[in-house]
Amino acid sequence: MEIVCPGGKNILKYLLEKNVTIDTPCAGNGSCGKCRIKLIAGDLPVTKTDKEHLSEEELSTGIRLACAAVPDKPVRIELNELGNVNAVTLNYKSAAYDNGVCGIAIDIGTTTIAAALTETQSGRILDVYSAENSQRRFGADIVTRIRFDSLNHNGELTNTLLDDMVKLLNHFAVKYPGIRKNIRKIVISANTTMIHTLLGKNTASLGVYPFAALTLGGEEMTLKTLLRGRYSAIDKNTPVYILKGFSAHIGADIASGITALGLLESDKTAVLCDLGTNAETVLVKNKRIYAISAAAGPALEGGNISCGCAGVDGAVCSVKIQDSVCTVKTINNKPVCGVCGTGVIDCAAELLKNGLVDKTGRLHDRYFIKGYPLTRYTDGRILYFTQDDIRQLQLAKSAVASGIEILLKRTDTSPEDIDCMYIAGGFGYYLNTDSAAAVGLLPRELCKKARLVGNTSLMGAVKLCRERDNTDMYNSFTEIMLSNDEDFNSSFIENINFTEE
Amino acid sequence: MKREDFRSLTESGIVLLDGATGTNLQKYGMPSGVCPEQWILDHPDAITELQRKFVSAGTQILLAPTFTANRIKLSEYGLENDLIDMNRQLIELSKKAADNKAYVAADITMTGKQLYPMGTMTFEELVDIYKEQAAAALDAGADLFAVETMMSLQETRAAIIAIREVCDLPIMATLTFESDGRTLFGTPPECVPVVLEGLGADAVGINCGTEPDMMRDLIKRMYEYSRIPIIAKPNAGMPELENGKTIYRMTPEEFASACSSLCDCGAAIVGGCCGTTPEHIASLRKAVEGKTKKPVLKEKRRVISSERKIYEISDGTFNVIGERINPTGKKALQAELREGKMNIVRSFAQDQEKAGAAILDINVGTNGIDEKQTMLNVITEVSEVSSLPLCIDSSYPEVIEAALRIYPGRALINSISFESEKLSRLLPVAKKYGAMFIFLPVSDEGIPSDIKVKHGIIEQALICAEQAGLDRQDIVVDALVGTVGADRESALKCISTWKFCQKRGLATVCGLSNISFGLPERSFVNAAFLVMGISNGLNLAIANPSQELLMNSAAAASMLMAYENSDIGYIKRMEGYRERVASLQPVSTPSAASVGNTKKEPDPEDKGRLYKAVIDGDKANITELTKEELDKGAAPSDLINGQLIPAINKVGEYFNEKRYFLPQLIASAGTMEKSIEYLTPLLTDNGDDSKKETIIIATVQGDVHDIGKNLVALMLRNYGYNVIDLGKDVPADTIIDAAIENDAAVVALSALMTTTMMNMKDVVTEAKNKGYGGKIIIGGACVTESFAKEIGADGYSGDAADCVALVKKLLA
Repeated sequence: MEIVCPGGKNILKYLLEKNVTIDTPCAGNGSCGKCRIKLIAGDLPVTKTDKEHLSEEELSTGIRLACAAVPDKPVRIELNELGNVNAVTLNYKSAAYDNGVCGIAIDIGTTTIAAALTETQSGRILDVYSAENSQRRFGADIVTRIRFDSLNHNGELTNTLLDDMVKLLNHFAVKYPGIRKNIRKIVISANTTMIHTLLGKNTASLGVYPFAALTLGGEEMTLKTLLRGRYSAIDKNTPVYILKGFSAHIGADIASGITALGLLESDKTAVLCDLGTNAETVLVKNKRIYAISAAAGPALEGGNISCGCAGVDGAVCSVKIQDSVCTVKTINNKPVCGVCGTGVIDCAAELLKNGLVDKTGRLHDRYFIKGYPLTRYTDGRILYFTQDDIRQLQLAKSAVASGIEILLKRTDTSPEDIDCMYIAGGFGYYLNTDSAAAVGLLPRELCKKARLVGNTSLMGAVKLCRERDNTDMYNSFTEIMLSNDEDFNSSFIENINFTEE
Repeated sequence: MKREDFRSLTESGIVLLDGATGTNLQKYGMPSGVCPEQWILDHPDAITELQRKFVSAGTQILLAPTFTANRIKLSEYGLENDLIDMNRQLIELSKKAADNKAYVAADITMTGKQLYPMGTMTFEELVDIYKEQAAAALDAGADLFAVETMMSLQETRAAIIAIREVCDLPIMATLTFESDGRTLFGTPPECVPVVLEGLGADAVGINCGTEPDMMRDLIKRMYEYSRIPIIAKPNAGMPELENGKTIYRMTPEEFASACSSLCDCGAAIVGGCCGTTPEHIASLRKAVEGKTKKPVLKEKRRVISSERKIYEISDGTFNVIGERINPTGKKALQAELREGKMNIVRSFAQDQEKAGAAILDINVGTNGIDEKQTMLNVITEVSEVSSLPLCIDSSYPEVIEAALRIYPGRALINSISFESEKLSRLLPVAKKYGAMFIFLPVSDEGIPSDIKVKHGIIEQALICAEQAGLDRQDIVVDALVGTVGADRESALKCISTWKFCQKRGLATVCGLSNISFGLPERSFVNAAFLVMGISNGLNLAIANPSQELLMNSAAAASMLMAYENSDIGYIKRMEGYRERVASLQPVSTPSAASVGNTKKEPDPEDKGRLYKAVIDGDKANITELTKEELDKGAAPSDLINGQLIPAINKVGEYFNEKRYFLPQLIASAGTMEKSIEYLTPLLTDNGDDSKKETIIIATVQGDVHDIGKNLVALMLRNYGYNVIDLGKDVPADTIIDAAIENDAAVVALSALMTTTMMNMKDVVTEAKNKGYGGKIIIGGACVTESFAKEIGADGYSGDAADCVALVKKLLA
């Protein structure tokens, strides 16, 4: 779309005010180079930030970064609005509402918010809802948002999230006019940072070592208290339960996943891995919970990748290279807009398989300079998967693989001991576990036992709408801190290379 | 000057305007940065001489130098209270120069302040600002008005509305176009006459911005849609910088011949803008003298327009008015409008445009809101996200009037009926704002059941409209569809009304869905009715454009009616249709099977076995190799300077090129470290091998990531620096204390997270407080060069290899 921006004002700030969403993973820090705009009319001098991220050719065609652009006089620019993020919810059969007693289960993810309306007695799911977490415009990942919060201290994160909550509640209330008075319980699952922002707590301490949390959740309150004076169509006295997490990194969303999968009720040894910017991984063994959180960086969510994007409509989510022909699939078969995390993993795996990337991660000479041509955008431009993109994936996959390695090592567990690995989170059902094994993101042995389980955080909240959780998981929890682990750094360096099959 | 006088002047032949004011006054010594109006009043002889020259060169209309004599601009110089006086004096100066040989136009332009929603100024505030200047100019005796160098169509509208609310003098309005053929605010040329003619402009056109040749196409496009004369006032070529001064190179002769060809494109009023002198105007007069100008088109076209796009309701076209922005029966939209939110409105607008609507209907009628204010908000919002022209839909005349006043285009009113109150209230409103309207043949007696009565009402309405100063081309008739369930002949009656209208040159529109009310699977009835409509000349339908059946049927029917471009339209639409189901085409890449990766290319700079071992990261054999080299008689310092350093430099290069990655870099650095360890005790301390500087390195407080920091430390050690590594999560005072204690030349700081990078600033502050005199450099994934500047660090490096170069540079 085209938009005219006024003089004397930072363009990114202006777009935010206008609710025009462009890709801003670093929230205007000037470090990611994604918030590209194109100057059509008027003057926009090249900034230092532009020079750091854009080529001469791009600059000469008027490409600029919105975060650093402040025109003197009005300018007309062109930009690509960000598509909708595809939230992973639950599989369910829709059922007619018969005025029974219900609960609302909510999962607040960093990227998306998902909710389910469930009948308390039967446990049936009547409807699910999903939307983007509107905090996204303050940064794609949690750390960027914490930084935003600690720089601004203006409660924007909380206000934005509570507005999203109202929207979600009103959605159900409008769709099922009878439920307003029939909601008995609202159960909220979220990671520790989201719980902080939901409750209006300062997130600053979550962003710096030793990552002290002001709360881990476990609060109970009325809806009125939660919403801080906002009005929603659901009865204001409805009790709200916020699930409790373990630590700053291993939050209620993981606890909820353990509940959903009944991991503590079984004698099996299982791994639950939530892949994202941080890969939170828990091992449940002999009724004890061991956990690590590996900082994978944004690559697995399409960040830091030259052509990367979030899991939006049109994101390349699967790649196949056969007989030198590359075929891609996009989310919902929409026109290509970039490559999301699963596409990045798939692409690297296929390049390895075809001998186009070597063990050290170096692209074949033919593609070394420009990158591998993956597909075309609708305007005919080619989307390249570059050498730098592979490097970014190497860092991410090594962090995850090394984290899991340390987790198994410190608990004296070998991959053979594990009965099942559950993969949860934003990857939804798109992750190709063969590709994950091929690039070394997850141990091959475990990939054979992998099950993609989708949004276990929401599933756990649904379960807890019905019954109270009686298992005491909090006393049987041990977190292995990777930053203090003597072997982590060397594992990390070793795992950056790809392994030969 | 009366508007009729202006018309007869332009009909008599090509009218000559003047040339540049600003660039010529600079030659008389006007400096930049002063208030031009004040300078002119302080140096009245300059303008008088210049304008006299223009008049004797042939100028028929002089522009008085009141360009920025508006309240906002004058207040920048604290002169706003002199506004009336200044405008009067400036116009008097021009009248004196004109000496009754030329008309004098008061000159008005943009204020530099932006309108809501981009800025804070409301439309009415701007209208008032222009009214104030217009009234002052009128009192001073201006013959007409020139609204010029406008970049925004909306601000031009404000100026014209303001002038028209003050007086009935002729108005010339010109906008400035960018190199992409639109104004800065995105208006293409054809929108200009469509929107401004109805508001009361007497001539429209283009000034400044471009050289004459680039105006040709723009002038042609304006001419095609205009029933008033077209103005061209180009610059004397494109501005060029010479010795810091802006100059325009076109000679009077070149300028005159280029401008004369603009007359062939349809320009009837010509002059010059920046860089044009009295000589340019004199040449221009010669060039156009006796030239027959293209006559202004007489036939009015049925065109509406947004700020960015026109839509012509011509016979032989059919399109859909998107109906979805209407809260009736849409609870979520009602709730949003009550809350004052616009999310649904925005997505409805964008979705409908994508789905193929040509016009968007805007109806915000629901209880519990201020309909007028909501309408204005929605129009502002939709105008931003969609370029489609709007159809203003309300039951309240005052809502329609308010909407037309602020709508930055030419709207379609939905609707005006034959009910006496509505008709008398709304026809003058349509006239004042130059809008088109949908006519509903409903009288005070209600909906006529007899078709003859219905047609009679239409005839009557046409007469009323013409009496109000409107034309038949401004009317779109709604045939009022009945329900086929209630009256079997509903569709047939519509056909008869459409034919009736077509014969009288009236466009037609209909709301589709009423026809099928009460029937099962209504979509088929609606589609069939639509096809019947198209085959009987129906121009528009109000419908939901996201219905594939309906839109595809319409595209097919238009093609079968042989409507212009409708075959391509159909094919394009079907491409879009397939795109929604088909997956993407594969991109083929050259075969890779035959070629393996070239892992080890020979290095032309191979400097020996240690060199090679470092390049390969051969940690296992390096000590042995070092011994062997020494046994062969090599000096330890030669091995370091001749092999190890060049090797690690090469590795750094590879790393920068991204051939090598972290494991390779670390392996190489580690290999070198081992060799150095073995060689160091053997180095003879002969003075010139003086100890290198001390570097303190640490990961800042709050951060516990140290892989990058460790690598930097290793690399710096390899280059011989004395590196003291304080570890991770190190407080600022510890770092600076250590730096002072060890007399460190450089402090290197690392942070990975955006949340901890601010702690680097604390270290810089601490250094200042404690008087540490060395350099501070920073690095880490989130850190950038500009951040380093911002916090006052001395340097930034992106990786370990760069860091060595940075330290060398800082210590050189």
